[in-house]
Formats: sequence, structure tokens, C-alpha cells
Amino acid sequence: MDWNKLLELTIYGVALASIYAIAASGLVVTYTTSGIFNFAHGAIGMLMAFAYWQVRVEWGWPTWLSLLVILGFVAPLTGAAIERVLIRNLRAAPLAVTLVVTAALMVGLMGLATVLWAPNRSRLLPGFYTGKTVTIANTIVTYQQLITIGLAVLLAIGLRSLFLWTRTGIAMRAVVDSRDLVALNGGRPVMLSTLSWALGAMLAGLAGILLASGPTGIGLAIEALTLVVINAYAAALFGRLRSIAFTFVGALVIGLVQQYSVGYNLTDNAFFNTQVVPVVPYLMLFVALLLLPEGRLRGAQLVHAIKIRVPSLRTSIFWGGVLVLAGWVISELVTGTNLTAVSKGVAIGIIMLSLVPLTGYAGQISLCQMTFAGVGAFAMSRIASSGTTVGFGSLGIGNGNPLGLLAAFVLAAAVGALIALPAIRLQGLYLALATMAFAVIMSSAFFEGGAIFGAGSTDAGAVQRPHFGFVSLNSNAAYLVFLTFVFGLVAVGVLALRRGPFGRRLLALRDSPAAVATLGGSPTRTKLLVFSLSAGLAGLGGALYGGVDRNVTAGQFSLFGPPGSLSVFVLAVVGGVATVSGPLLGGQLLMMTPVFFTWLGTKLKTDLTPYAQVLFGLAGIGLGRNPGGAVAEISTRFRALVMDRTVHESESETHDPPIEGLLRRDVPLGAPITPSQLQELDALLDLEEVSGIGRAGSR
Amino acid sequence: MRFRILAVVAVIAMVAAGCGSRLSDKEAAQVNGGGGPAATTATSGGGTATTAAGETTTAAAATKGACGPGSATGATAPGVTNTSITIGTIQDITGARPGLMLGPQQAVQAFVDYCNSVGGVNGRKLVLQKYDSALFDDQKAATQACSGGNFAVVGQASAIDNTGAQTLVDCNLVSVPGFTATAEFGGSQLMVQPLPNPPGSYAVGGAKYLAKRFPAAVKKATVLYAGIDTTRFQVKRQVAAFEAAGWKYVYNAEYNPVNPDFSPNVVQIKGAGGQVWNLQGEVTDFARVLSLFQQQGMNLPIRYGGQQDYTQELIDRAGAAAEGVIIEDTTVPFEEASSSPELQLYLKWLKNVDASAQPTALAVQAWSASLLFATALKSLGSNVTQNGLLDALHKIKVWNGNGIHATADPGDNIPTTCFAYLVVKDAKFQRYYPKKGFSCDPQNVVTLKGDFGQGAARK
Amino acid sequence: MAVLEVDDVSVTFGGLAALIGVDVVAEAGAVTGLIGPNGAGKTTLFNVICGLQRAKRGHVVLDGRDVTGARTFNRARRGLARTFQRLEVFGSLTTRENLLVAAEMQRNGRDPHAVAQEILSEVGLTEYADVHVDSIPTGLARLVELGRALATDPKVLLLDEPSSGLDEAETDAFGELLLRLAERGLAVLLVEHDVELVMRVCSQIYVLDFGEIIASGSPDEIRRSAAVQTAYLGSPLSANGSGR
Repeated sequence: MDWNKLLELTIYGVALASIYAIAASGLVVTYTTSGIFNFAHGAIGMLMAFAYWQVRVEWGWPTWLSLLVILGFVAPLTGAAIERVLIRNLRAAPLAVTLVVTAALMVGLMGLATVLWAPNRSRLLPGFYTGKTVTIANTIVTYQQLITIGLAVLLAIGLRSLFLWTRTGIAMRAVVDSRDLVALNGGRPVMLSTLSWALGAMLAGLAGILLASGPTGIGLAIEALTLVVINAYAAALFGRLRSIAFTFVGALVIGLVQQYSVGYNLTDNAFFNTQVVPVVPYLMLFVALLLLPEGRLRGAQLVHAIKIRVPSLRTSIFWGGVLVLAGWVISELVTGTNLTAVSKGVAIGIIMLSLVPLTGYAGQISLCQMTFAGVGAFAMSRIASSGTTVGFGSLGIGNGNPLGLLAAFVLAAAVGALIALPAIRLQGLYLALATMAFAVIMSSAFFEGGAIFGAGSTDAGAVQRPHFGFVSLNSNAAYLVFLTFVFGLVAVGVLALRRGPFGRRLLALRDSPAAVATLGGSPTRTKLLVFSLSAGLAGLGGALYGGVDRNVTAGQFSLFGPPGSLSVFVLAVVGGVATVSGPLLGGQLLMMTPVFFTWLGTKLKTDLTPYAQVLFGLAGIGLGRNPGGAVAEISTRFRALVMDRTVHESESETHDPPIEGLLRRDVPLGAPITPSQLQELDALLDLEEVSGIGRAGSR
Repeated sequence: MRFRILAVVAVIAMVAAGCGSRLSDKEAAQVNGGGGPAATTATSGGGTATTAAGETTTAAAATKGACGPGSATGATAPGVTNTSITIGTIQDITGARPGLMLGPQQAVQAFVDYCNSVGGVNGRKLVLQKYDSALFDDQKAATQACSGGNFAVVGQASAIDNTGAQTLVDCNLVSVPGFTATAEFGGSQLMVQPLPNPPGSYAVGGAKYLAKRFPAAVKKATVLYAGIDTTRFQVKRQVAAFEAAGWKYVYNAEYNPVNPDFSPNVVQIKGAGGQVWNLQGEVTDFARVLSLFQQQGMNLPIRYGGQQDYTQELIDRAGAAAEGVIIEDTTVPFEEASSSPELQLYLKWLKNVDASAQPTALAVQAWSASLLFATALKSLGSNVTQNGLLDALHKIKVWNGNGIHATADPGDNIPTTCFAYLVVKDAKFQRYYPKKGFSCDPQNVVTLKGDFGQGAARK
Repeated sequence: MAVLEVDDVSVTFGGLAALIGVDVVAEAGAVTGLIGPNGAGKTTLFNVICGLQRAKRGHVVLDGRDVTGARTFNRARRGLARTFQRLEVFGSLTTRENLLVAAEMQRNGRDPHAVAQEILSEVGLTEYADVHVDSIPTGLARLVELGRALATDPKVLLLDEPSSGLDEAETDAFGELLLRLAERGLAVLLVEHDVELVMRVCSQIYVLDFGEIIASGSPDEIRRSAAVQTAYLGSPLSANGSGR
């Protein structure tokens, strides 16, 4: 037993864990006081690292001043600004919207960084006390590592003191349990929110700077920096997004496991070493989520009712026909790469349709639809082939055999059921994070194996178009028409589903899982079914998507893609995930926007991609205005216009018990609480017993 | 988000490993101090038609005159008219890593400008159309090139070039890229490149040299590579080839392309007693590990890098930790530009395209590709056809870009049998071995056992 | 016959004792009332009965079967239904659809659409059948919840303040409805603030205060109970004891 090595790896594990802890605690602080999970936390940290470079290297300010300015002013101000402009309005928004908004913010910030600090030069961020080391028990540790560990310890003590002993801190903790109660007691939840986001941004910035700086650090790489901080989310989950202490424990576990898994040859198995080890933090995230005690069933608060009229069968078939016609027209007018882009847009639309029953109707968030799509593409590529493909063998039953589409649906549905099983006990945010972790794990463990869609083997990524005896889909024009036909078919099917008992059950599950349970419905069976169905549809979409280029690569089915599960989710929600036209719009947005920006870019002779990203950020943020998505917003206003009725803003309000009015006002300290307020307070406590089932974390 | 950005580096690494050149007998004799490969005319598994120095000089003479006035006429093929030939070029320009292959694109433009300035090829001017593979869109760019009325695709530089390889074959477009990154393109039936990189063979000249000089050290070789397909594929070949050349790997591991900390890898290298180290990935990661070695007080006898590490960025990032690092190089070092008129030509015309442009090794290869294309084109005279071009390219079996890189055999798609090492000394790149030019030996290219992929082929 | 028995149930939230040794019995064919000041723990009790809240101690017996460890949907399948104090309607569905969801979950062979139609008229919601429940006034939405609960053909019906939001006439009609339901054999456990309504329709009343049952008995007995008066008003009352 090599104790030296163990000690060495442990110390490095603690150093890495310290950064994760700093990042994760920032995330926890913002979550506990606002109830919003900040997907963009890593991006904020990245931005601060760049800003630090700007003042420290580009403008040559001394280190202490640079740190003070960035961590003491720029970061907190950024956090506060984000809270003010964005987060505040999201408090009553559905989870899907908050995820979309913060994910869009992340992309927007990354685009912003690209615009401000163009990647056409290399930027070096000097470390802290570079070159200075100490030797602890035969291990060489740098000053910077010691400082990092020290900072984490100080932070642990500091946050604990803050939360246990200071008024502000106690209020912050109380806000976790009851925002409204804090207001009644003279605290100011709004102020606390701003403060905590300022603190969160500062911590993110600190983590970003520590990660990026020094000759051995990640450096100023926009994506890498953002992504590593995402590793820290798993640590935050250990603490159930509430407990700082457990967050630190979680960070320690993840940091150590990461270092040990790389530092030791646990096995000679190449698969394990190359495909499992890199995603260890996500495996831990998954495990952490599954180990959480089962959340109590959520009640109906914070859910906006969907009041979209469901078209009748005849209407939906009619519009389906119109769609196919439109597809035919477009196929005649558009050619070349624009045609393939539109086609891919329709295929992505089919994948987004799979989110309608799952997220739109049932309210379950899935950040891994492209994973299912990839499984479908894989099934199609292996089944509907001539049998000479490499890797994983092949059951090729003939090029383009339509049964490949069935296989795509079935295999993807099976995988969907597989992930649904552990995920069933999760709700809301935890479910979303579990699907995210699943997407990353599958990317590494399955898709990137080379045997699936790898480079270096010609046929592995080949996906045939289905071949029907009576019509050839060889021409891209014909394939587009076919795609619109399938989209129409699936859309009609989804609407029929909605009109039937299963659709009702899904919406009921979304509106109030608690009520469903009290009526005798097992959420488990419903969830399992809808996940499988949704995954199957995504698989079908994936198989058809692959047929556009007749070729796919592993990267397309990862979390970030392109296109990736995250974008698919975001744009589906933006387009409107409770309707079937939303996915159509979303798919086109996803595929055509880059085409547009590329075209515009060549006209203007610049690379507009980062600006497109910023725009994407703004689009997602704008979603906060109408949670129904763009299509709903447009249709609402259209209807009002056409029918000459005013649009009732109250359409999106839920029932407010009389208490709400009171609770929104701050009650100043010193004013006596009247008996009626007391009565309402009691009612509030009564409420808490019901709404306690819907508290932070199990929402 | 874009892990595959690092495929770029892989590409470069593959180029570095797969490149090299075969010197003419005379030059070879000079370099190797008279001894050595006098029988370089004997071929190593490929069959170059070079039998005498005479033919090589002819080749050299031919390239000099590739561009010039003439009286070719006839619209004999797609993209060809009486007075012009339209060619496409594809590089990673936008996307996840903006400007990644801007250098090669500029090099092709520079060559076209130069060529047209002296009259074009046989009097037909070259018209250049640019396409953007944007890291992940090779197939899209290839499709655009196919439908763009191009005669050929010249000077391609794409980090992930497999998805478009078959597309180009299917529309009968001949490619003369600056380099290839994958098996599909590197073995494509319609592709000829100045420094070949086919999937089934590998250049081991450098490895053999190090094995001779440091026999004990190469038995404790280590390699780290980014966990993406192209680098995995690259390292798989490298390990197979080098171990056949007498190396032994005691640590061979991939790392997560988004890696917060290389410390555990370094701990493993230390534990395995590694003496030789290489990293296939981004130069930033290369520099990070170098700094860790320095921190840990680990003085490995051999730390070597490839063409992608031959940049100022390496020295800027790693500082003193980069001292002693050797870099395998197959293009004429920029520090020796004075010895290569062609290199100076490239540099001059590059400034014409963009005064602030930075020359890079990959750009040099793209220039060489353009020259190779022009040379083959010239030999066709008036009757220019795509199949004719391919045949003419296949006839060029000795090629050094008119003195801009080591000699290779594009016609037979055989990797170079030559190599050279630079070393980082006093924060500058200096010569390590050989003292001048490149070191060559037909034994420097080995055929790999096993399946490393297939090139795109006509159906 | 006691269809529902709550036996010595205790629940604590952190340091707060929400329920202390509560015993409640609901008989079939009767409306049993549960009253008490705000914060007494009435909704908590309901949550325990239907399984949304775990009790630290005690048992819940439904139709002779100990369901203390059973999951909510299993209890529902055994004939337990409830409404919620804070509406838990399916706002995205119409009234009819709300009822259908419940009816479709039953395996008693009855046509869900027929059941839904029946309940619509019984509860008086035909006018709102195809309106999204989210757009319906609160008081009527409570009726939807009631209808939904009825659609499960329950044996025990827990009603949590179902009459808040109803005017006097509506409350009267509602009271009649409750009596009709009891006549059919249901055991109705009614939590209410409208003490008049409770006195009118209930045959047995429990009074909960600070988590404990401080009194139980017929409406008359409760009216006269000094303990109840103290709890509600701070001191015993004289004649009519009309509570809060």
C-alpha cells in the first residue's frame, strides 16, 4: 500500500474539493433564498475570471486591487443585477421556465464573454505565488493550493456563522422555510434575495479565478471554465441545496473520488477508464439524487394552469394536412444546405414533440431528450442496415428497412423506462438534474465509445433513410415532405392522447400530484408510461434526424450538442411545450437561427456566432413574460385581435387565497400584529402543513 | 460543450506524426553524414517510381514553374472555362473555436493570389471559393462545395474531416488538403495530400531515433491524450507503432478534455517511473502538465510534442518549464526561413492577404497542397478533367513543397520517412536533431497491424 | 359502523407538537365534524389520514384495515377521498375533465363519462362543465373538488373547509348535499369554520385545539362544553355559545 501516493492524491483531492466547495456554496446560497436553481452559476464564475484578467493583466493593476474590484464590486453587482432583472420575476414561474431562463442566461453570458474577449489571442492568467511550494509529508503543495484550501475552510466557518448567528443569516435560512413568515417578522425577503445573489456571484467568481489562474490552471477557456463549475453542482446536491455543511462534505467526496479515480488504476478495463472515469462527478450527482429521501408529493402551488384549447380530431388532421402541404411547397422552393437545415428542423421538431406529453402535459422536466434521440438513431443505424457495420455487431435487416423506425422507438422507450425507474421518486428540480446527469453519463459511457458513432470507423455513424417500396426518399425534397408527414402524424397522435384519459391523467399529475394520489392514481405508473412514450417518440425523431445527413456523430446527442438536449429543451419551451405547434417553431428556431446568422455574418464579414448566443440568452430570458411560450403568446394576442376582445392578463393567475395580499407587504418592525393578521398567520401555518410538501428541493 | 475543439490539436498531432519527407538521395546522404540510406531509392512498401536523382530534380524543377502564362482553352470539366478554374477550399473558420484554421485559409488565398499574379496555371486564372466546416460541419461544407461548381477542393484544413469525405467522393471532387485528421479522409480514394497520413501506417522515425539515443528511457514511455475520438484513434496507432519500434508504454491514459487538474495523472506518471512523456491535446494542456512536472521536481529525460505545440504560446504558458522540450517538426522551421525561398514566398504573399497574419505550420502545409495541385494541373495542359487530375497527382511521388517541408510521397499516399526535432532552449525553438534538414530512412514508416479504419471509397 | 378510525395519532414538526394523541372515529352514514381554532392541526390530521403526512405515533384504520403504513393512492383505492383547504384542482382541465380523471381511475366498471355527468348535476356544476377550472370562482372550484372526490365512489370523504367562499344560500344547499351523501352511506368527516353549518349537519363533532381533542360529542354537548368555549373565546360563555 503506497501511503505516500494515497496522501498525495488526498491532498490534491482536498485542493480540488475546495474549489468545488466554494462554487457549490455560492449555488446553495442563491437557491435557498430565491428558490431558483441558477444554471448560469458556472458562467458567472467564468465571466469574473475574464474580468479579473482584464484588470490584472490587460490593465496591469496590482493583484490585491484587482481581486478587490472584481470580487468586491463587479461580481456582487453582477449577481445583484441578475437578481433584480431576472430572478425576481421568476419567483412564481414554473420550474421549466426558470431552467430555461437560467440556461439561456448561461449561453448569453458565454456569448458575451466571446464578444468582449475575442478568442483570437491567447490570454494567460498568472497564478498566486506561482512557483512557491511547501512539502507536506512528501507531497509538494503549492501556495495557491494552500490558499484555496484555506479559503474554503474560512468560507465554511464564515457561512456557518452567518447562518447560525447573524440576523441576516438566520433570515436567509428562514426564507428557506417560509419566505412569507420572514416578511411578517420584519425581515425583507427581497433584500435578502439580492444580497444572496451578490454573495453567490462573488463565490462563483472566486472559484472561477482560482480555477483559471496559474500555469497549471484551466486558463481562460470560456467553455471549460463554465463546465468545470457545473461539476460542483453535484456537491450542492449532497447538501440537498440547503445545508452548507453537507455541501462541503459533498465537495470533498467528489474532489477525492475524482482524484482517486484518475490517480489509481482501479481496473484495466479500457471502457471503465476511458468512459466512466471522466464522468465521475455526474455519476456522483446521480447517486446523490437517488439517495435523497423521497420527496413528499407536491401540491398545486406555483403551477400555472394551461388553458389552451385542444383542437378536435378533425381540426388536427386538417392542420396536419396543411403542414404537409407547406412542407411540399418549401421542398420545392428551398435547396441545398438550407433544405437540409429545414429538414433537420422538422426532425428536431418531432423530438421536441416528445416533450409535449412529458413536460407540456405531465410537467416533468427532461434534459436528456437528445440522449433518447441518439439511442433511436443508433437503433436505426444498426437495424436498418445491410449488416456490415462495425462495433456492437449488427442485426442489419436491410438498408432502410422501416422496421428500423419501430426499433428506434422501442429501444429508446426501453431506455426511457430505465431512467424513469430511479427517477420516479424525484420531482421537479431534482428530476431535471437527474436527467441532466444521465445525459452526460450516456454521452461518455455510450455514445463516445467510438463503437457507436465514432470517428475512425466509416459506417458506425451511418443512418439510413427508411425505404418504402412505393416511394423513394432519396431526394432531400421528398425526405422533407416525409418528415412533415411524420410530424403531422405524431402531432395528431399527441393531441388525441391529450383528449383521452391518459392525457387528462398527465395534466392532473402536473397540476397536483398530491391530488392525483388522493384519487387513487399511482404517480409511478403514470410517470413510467409517459417517460417511455416520450423517450420512444424522441427515438423516432432521432432516427429520422439521422436520415437527413444519413450520418450522425456522438456530439449531437450530448447535453450541449450541437444541437444537444439542453437547446432542444430550451427551444421547445420557448416555442411552447404544451402545444404541438410550439415544437414546430422550436425546431425551426434551433436549426435556422445559425443559418441566418451565418448568412448575415458572411454579408457583414464577421463571425456573428457570439452575438447569436447573446440573442439566444435574451430570448430565453424574455420567456419569463409568457410561460406558455412564444406560440401561446402569439396565439393569445392573435385571438384577441381577431375576436376583438381584450386579453385578460389574469388568464395566467392562479387562485390566490386572501392571505397572499397580506403576505406581499412587508410588515415593519414595531407595528403590532393585529388579531386578523394573527388569524391569517395561523391560516398560514395551517397552509404550511399542506404546502410544506412543496418546499424547496422537492418542488 | 465543445469537447471536440481539441480534435483540432489531434489533427495537428496526427499531421506531425504522419508527416515527414523523403529527401532525395543527395540530400539524405548529406544529412546523415554520408552513411545512412544510400539506398533510399529502394522503397518502403509503396513503390515510388523514383529510381534516380534525375527524376526528383525534374519534380523540383516542375514545381518551380507550376504557375505561369499559357494558352490552355476549353471548358473541359466542371469549374473549368477557357480562362479560369474554380476551386473550393474548406477550413474551420467559425463555430466553437473561431479562427481555428484561418491560417491555412489565408495560405490558400495567398497562393492563389501569387499564382494569378504570374499568369495562373497554363494561363487559366484560379478562382477561389471558401467554405466553412466550423469544426462540426464538414459534411455541410462538402455538400456546399459539391454544388458550388468547383473543379477540385484544395488546401482543406478541418479538425473533423470524416463526415464530408464520402460526400466529396460521391460528387467526384478531388481533394488536395493541407492535412487529414481521420481515417475516412486520410485514406480517401479521391484525396492526395502533400504529407500523407493514411490510417494503416505510421511514421516512427522520431521514435526510432529516441529509442537509439535513450534506449532505457523509451521503455518507460507515457502518453496522455484528450478523451475524444480523433485523439484516441491517433494514440491507438501511435502506441502500436512505437511499441513495434522498441518503445514500451508504462502509462497510457486519456483525460477528460475539460480537466480541472492534471495532478493525479502526474502522480501516476511518477509512480510508473515514466521517462518519456507526450501529450496529444491542446497546447494549453501540454503546457499545464509541463508546469506540473516542474512543480513536482520531475525531470523527465524526454518530453516531446508535435506540430501543434510548435507555437509561441507554449513558451508563453509554460515558461521555464518548457526548457528542454523537444518538438517533432516536418516543415521547415520558421527560424530557418532564409534557407527556403518557397517559405519566404509564402510569408510574403501571406502579408499580402493580411498584414497581421501569423504563419503556422499547418498553413505551410496548405500552401504546399495548393502548389501540389497547381503542379499536377499544369501537367494536364488544356484538357483538364477531374479523373485526369487524380491520375496526375498519383504520379507525383516525391514532393517537398518546393523546399518548404520534408519530402514525402503523395502519389502513393505514404507517410513521410523523415523527421526533425526542435528543442526549446532559452525560450526559443532551436534545432535538436539533425543539425540541418531532416533525417530520413525508408524504415521510418511502418504498416500497422489491425483495423484502424477505412478511407472513403467510390461506390 | 366505524369506517374510519384515527387512533392515538401524534405528529411533531421539529419542536412543535402538531397533533397529540388524537382519537377520531367517523361512522358510515353520518357527517362527523371537526372544528377548532386556526392552527389547531385539522389539516395536519387530514394529511395523516390520507397518507400525505407521516405520523410519529398512532394508527389509521380504514374500513377495518390498518392503513397506517399504506401509500396515499392505496388508501384512496380503499375508498378514502378528500378535498383540500387550499385548492388542489386540476386547473388545466375543465370541470368535466377533473371529474373524468377521478372516474377513470376507478375499476368498478362504470362508464366514466356517465359518472362525470351524474356528479355534475348532483353537485350543481353543469353550467361550468366545459370551463377550465382555473377560471372558475373559488367557491365553485371547491365544489369541483368535492365532485372529484365523489367520482371515486368513496366510503370515507374528508372535506377540508369546503364551504368557504360560498354565500348563505349556497351554504344551505351544500349542507343539504352533505346530508344526502351521508344518507347514501358515506362517512363524511367535515372540517369547517362555519360552526352553524357544522352544528346543523353533523351528528358527532370533535373539537381540536393545539393538537389535542378537547371535546367530542353531539352538537348540543359541544355547544355547552366549557372547554370549547374557553378554547374559542378565552373564557366560557353563557347561553347560545355561537363560537367565533
